[in-house]
Amino acid sequence: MIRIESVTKRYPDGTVAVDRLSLEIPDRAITVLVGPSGCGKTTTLRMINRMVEPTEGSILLDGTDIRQQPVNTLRRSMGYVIQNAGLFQHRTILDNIATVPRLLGWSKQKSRAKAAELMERVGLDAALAKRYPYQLSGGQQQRVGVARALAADPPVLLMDEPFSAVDPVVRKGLQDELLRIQDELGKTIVFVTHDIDEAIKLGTMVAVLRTGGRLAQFAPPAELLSAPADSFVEDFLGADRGIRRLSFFPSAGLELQTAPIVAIDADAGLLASRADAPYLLVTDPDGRPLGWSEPDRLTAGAVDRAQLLDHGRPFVPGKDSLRTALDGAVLSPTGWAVAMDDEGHAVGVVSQQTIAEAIRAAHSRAARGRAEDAGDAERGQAADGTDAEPAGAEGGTEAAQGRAEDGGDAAQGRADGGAAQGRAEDGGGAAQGRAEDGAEAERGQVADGADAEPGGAEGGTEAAQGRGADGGDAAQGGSVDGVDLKAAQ
Amino acid sequence: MNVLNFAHAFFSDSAHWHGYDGIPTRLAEHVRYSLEALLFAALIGLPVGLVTGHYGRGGNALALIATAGRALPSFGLLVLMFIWIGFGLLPVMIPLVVLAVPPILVTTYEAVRSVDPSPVDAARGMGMPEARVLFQVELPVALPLILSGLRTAAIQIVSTATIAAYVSLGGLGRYIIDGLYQRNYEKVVGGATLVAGLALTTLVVFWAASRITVSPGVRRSS
Amino acid sequence: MNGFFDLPSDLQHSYLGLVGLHAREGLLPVLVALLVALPVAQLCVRFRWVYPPVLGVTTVLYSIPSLAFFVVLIDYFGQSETTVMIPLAVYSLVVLVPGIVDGVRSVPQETLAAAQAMGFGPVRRYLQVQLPIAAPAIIAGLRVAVVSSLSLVSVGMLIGNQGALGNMLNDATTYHRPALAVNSVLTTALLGILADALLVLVRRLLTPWMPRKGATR
Repeated sequence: MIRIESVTKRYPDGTVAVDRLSLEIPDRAITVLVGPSGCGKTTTLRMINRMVEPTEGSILLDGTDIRQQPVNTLRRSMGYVIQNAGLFQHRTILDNIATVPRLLGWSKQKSRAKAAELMERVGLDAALAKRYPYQLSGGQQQRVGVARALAADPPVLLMDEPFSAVDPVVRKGLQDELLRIQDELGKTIVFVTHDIDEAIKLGTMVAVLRTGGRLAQFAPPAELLSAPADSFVEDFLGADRGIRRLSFFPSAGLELQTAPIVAIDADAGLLASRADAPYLLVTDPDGRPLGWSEPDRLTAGAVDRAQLLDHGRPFVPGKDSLRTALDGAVLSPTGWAVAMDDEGHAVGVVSQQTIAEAIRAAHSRAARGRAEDAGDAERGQAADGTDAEPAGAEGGTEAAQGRAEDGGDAAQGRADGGAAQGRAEDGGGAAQGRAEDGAEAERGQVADGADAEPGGAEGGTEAAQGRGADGGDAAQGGSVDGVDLKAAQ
Repeated sequence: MNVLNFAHAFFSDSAHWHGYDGIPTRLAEHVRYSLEALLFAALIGLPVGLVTGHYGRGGNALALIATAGRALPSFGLLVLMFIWIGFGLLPVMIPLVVLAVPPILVTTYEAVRSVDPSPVDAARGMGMPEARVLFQVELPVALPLILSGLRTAAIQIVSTATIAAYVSLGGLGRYIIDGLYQRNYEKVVGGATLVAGLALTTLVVFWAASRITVSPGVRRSS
Repeated sequence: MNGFFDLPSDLQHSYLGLVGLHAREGLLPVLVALLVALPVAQLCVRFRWVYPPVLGVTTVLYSIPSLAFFVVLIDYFGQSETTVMIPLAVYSLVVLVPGIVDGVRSVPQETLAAAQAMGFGPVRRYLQVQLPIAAPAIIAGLRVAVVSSLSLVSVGMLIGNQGALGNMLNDATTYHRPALAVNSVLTTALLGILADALLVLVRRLLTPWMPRKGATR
């Protein structure tokens, strides 16, 4: 773990870049330093590999002061990625990536073999190996920068605004790629950005710094959105905080209705039985959504596909968030969002109203989770609220989300609402409330759903849903009434 | 009569092809003086330029040296040294070196200083020792400009070594100076042609050197 | 420094007379070169393909030693001031053209587009937008050209005493008066440095919008 202990950086001219900053940077997670220009975020990052020496305070790496070891040994143990990649224009892509292995004294052959492996890992075509940086696009260059930083397999990765210089589309690709690589490698990443959206998307923990190098808030992104520490953080987060926060609420528990779904080859009898619905979702014979229609406009055996209304963007329950579900509902002319499975088959539809209720329930859960977290700051515990009836909680619904990553190696459990965060280093048992068995599970997710009784969260009902996403085999735990999520641990 | 006729007459006279005043001897002398002067100048200019450029200090001092180096009349310096020191190689070498150092020093400084700082930052961040940062990151990128500084210096040396015949140095300038005294215009033009040819050869040599030593990644991207 | 300014009569000039002669022989070629370089550079900017060959030719011309250049011209212009000034003009041209091209090219496209949008014609745009913005680069080129040119004039002594201050060098050896050589070298160098300083001043006056930092180069 990297511990920054009340570090100050004061320049000879008196300007203070970083002011008594303390941070605990968790292992194998992405910690984002974010803030306006002049907030000392880059300085902080550069103090970790001693590109900048602190004036006061110290930085500990696994309990030892980083000044204990020779500076270049320290730097070689930390990958370093900067804006514009900083590639060596006189060296081929392969040799650029092989830089640190060569510095560590590996043979040329071994270094290049490792470099080739990394090119593949970051999604670079092997044909680019012999090219020079000027022949690559900005996005490709940045991938090379990441590969170069990873070449010697350092446990720590320092990234200084690595994606700021590329256009938004490429940036999104690079961000997704980074998350994918992080899922595979589990590095301790410190990431500097001025873009709060990037911070929220990438960060396991986000440190918001204010001008003058002071820490404003250090929290998981969802908590940042739900409970900004002060008006500075709130302003910095910008508009749509509420909507953006929905990204952290799972859509898995939404109660889906299947009745309004009809296949395009449905017979007249079936159509007649559904005639009281305001709209019907028409699918192809395989169950893929085609579009909405009013029931009386459908004639059995003669459905005109061109007449159907656009169904908006479907969401995948369990994978997508409430934000995606809401977006689908808002985009749909009928106000209903379409849920589909990984293969694209419609598995249900859900109304804006139902989503709105789920949001309300999620909010109250999160609020209660926070209240508990304040009293009992026991990390790794999913917020549980079945029996407790804290202030503001209208019902007993709750959500806990557990994710076991990498075969249970680094299982990470995240309690919904971001109030409590659980991490477990060992085995399958760590992810709370998982429906799958053992360490085999790629991913375990427990998400609560909307209440079983629409129209109110007062019932104290709750739903736990487990999905084992292994090999697409969706082991559905179904919704179980009254299950205390703790019990599922 | 025109210049071409003179040159033709000069080169077709077989007497000009051997002996201590023959073309091979004079050419060898000229090349030797020039190479020696360039070597000394590079030994001074390159290290100082690399180090000052790497640390980005001393720019103002170097700008003064550059202007002073240009302002000093090479011919005047040559004559002055000759009067002070007398005959020999030393009074010639001093001005040749003194005049060749500023272009090498200043371009090397500029070349290293103007290297894109981000790869240098990346190199340091990866734990590359300072010396390797200079030689493996900055130098390869700065090389085209450094070579152009060396080329300017070399051309200047070849040119000034010609004038040095006035103060009794050998080399191709002998033909021009002697020819002017003897009112032998054939000799003058022949010498001038040879000197121009040597200067152009110098250009070609430097062009070839940069083709060989500069990485394609640098050549194409700048 | 006995007889430092006491010039032998065969020089046919007073000290100040020689300085004036030197200045004229050194500066006139630069002026001519500037007048030629401006349109040539504009041509290179306008038609990009012109620039590489122009650059190639000028590099070759620049590499030809001054003495060789002088003597070839004797056949046409005799041992005259013109023979000295033509190579100096060519060298200056070589220094000025790339400087002006880079300077004019460095004018941001947005600035040019803005000027055009405001209704500047090509001539006005060149005189009122491109040239002023390129001024620092042009003057940087002029500084190099002027200083080198003034220092090279001395070589003219070798072709029939056309070297102005350089002519003192011949007398220094003939009469063995080292002071004359010292005088020649120092005066020439000072003349060059003075001209350089003047140009820096001119640039400051012409470009008050430039930041003062890093004025020297």
